[in-house]
Amino acid sequence: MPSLKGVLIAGVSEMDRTELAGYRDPVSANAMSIARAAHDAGVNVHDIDVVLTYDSLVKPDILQANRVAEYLGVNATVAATVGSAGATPVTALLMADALLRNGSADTVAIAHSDLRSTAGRDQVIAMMAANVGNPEFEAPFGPIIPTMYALLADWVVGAGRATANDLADIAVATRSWAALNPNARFTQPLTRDEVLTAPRVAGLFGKYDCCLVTDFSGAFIVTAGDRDRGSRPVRVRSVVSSSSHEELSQIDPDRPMAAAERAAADLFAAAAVEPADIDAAFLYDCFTSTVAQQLIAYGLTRERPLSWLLGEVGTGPGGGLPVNTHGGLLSATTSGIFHLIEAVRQLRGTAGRRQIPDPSLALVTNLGGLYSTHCAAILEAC
Amino acid sequence: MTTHHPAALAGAEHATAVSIPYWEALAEGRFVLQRCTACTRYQHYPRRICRHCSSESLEFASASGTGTVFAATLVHRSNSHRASPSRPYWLAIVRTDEEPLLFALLSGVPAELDRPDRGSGLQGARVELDWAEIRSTGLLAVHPIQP
Repeated sequence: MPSLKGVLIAGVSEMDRTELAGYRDPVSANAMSIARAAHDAGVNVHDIDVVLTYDSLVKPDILQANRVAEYLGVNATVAATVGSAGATPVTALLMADALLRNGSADTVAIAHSDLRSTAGRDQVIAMMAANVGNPEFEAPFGPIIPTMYALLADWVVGAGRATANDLADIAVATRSWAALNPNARFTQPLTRDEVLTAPRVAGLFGKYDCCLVTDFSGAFIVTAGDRDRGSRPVRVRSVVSSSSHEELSQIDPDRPMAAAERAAADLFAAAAVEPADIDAAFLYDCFTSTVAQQLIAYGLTRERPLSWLLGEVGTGPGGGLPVNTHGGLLSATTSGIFHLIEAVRQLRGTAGRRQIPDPSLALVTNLGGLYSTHCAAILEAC
Repeated sequence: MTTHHPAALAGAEHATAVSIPYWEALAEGRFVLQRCTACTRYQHYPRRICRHCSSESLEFASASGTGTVFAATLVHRSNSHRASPSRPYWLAIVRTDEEPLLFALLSGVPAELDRPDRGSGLQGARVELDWAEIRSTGLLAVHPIQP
């Protein structure tokens, strides 16, 4: 194997849904996923020196990472339960990258598991909504998370950046990818018309524009320098974060996507590549509109209409810019950790029926809050 | 003046030491926003420090109650744990003429105007406070200014 410099994602794992149904505790699921990712990386579990986890929504625990390390018998240098909402997995990668580069760590394990079915779908939606909006000035209007994103989707459509058909086409393409993923929650094909006429949630959003509520468990291992064991690694070419407001009424109405645009500028500059060099994108898709807005903000539409990218180039199977080949949050499973894990599988050439031909560069994004925190990475095949 | 019994203002129960004057004014039928006496710019929600210039010298000043729709959405599903009007209802983000954005119910717009194939089409519409709706719902509300 040639000499590899820099920070590498050396191992990944995703637990099968059927197996996960036997778990009742996110700590044990995280521990199992980390052990399997370590095996994939050719790393001894007891050589892990940093454990970072994204806390469970249904069983919150500020010491979760410590419990995961303990479960595995790992004496970690750093065990931290990290939180920046949906942006957490890539935020954790950013932290791993910094710890590895300054010599504070050799082997970092990052995991996210949740067992949301144990609380019930409506209860999970209520839990997520409990944190939504300023208690004096926003929450009394009864918004749930889709309401907030629907307001921003109304802006993107009203500003002429996307159409309702574009949003529907994103749901359709994502579902086409999910049909090729045996671990995806929903696999039956969708049509544009089915998306547009589905039961309404808020404004432009029907049920197929909104992410799923599923159980999941996944992990990945990050290391630095040469590797002579384990599966083929993937290089972290650049990883960045950018935050702005938290509450929606604090967004800059002249530049609602300013934080994403800043992340994109920093990300491509640090990687020394252009948006046109990206072979596949794994974009946080809590709603169809977030894919639309990120395709534009990260420059993947190349200053042409979104409909050109979605229609002529294509983001589904066989398309020129594959997006969310695992089926994303819209059709597969509910954590942004799988955007990263799927990017690694594609760059390694191990994505099975959905493998795209010979990708060398992938864009991965995570999104926290209401476009509040944008974390993104460019990964490169080794 | 309305003859309705005034509904309690739904956000006021969460008022902070800083925001009380805003809620007291609204209950009296006056609309105020917090303004910095140093840089003269407005901000909302009320804070102990100016988000523009970091001055701690802030006051509540009369505001126009007029603005422009930044975005609007017809709400079909809402958080049942909180006070909210009967569904579906229009919710808007209003860019006030003073600058800050506000959440407000959008009254006087038929639900039929919403079309899933094109969005609200209400961006840029001029709106003003709807005091009758504020009193009956206990929520900040605006309606379109008739040309």
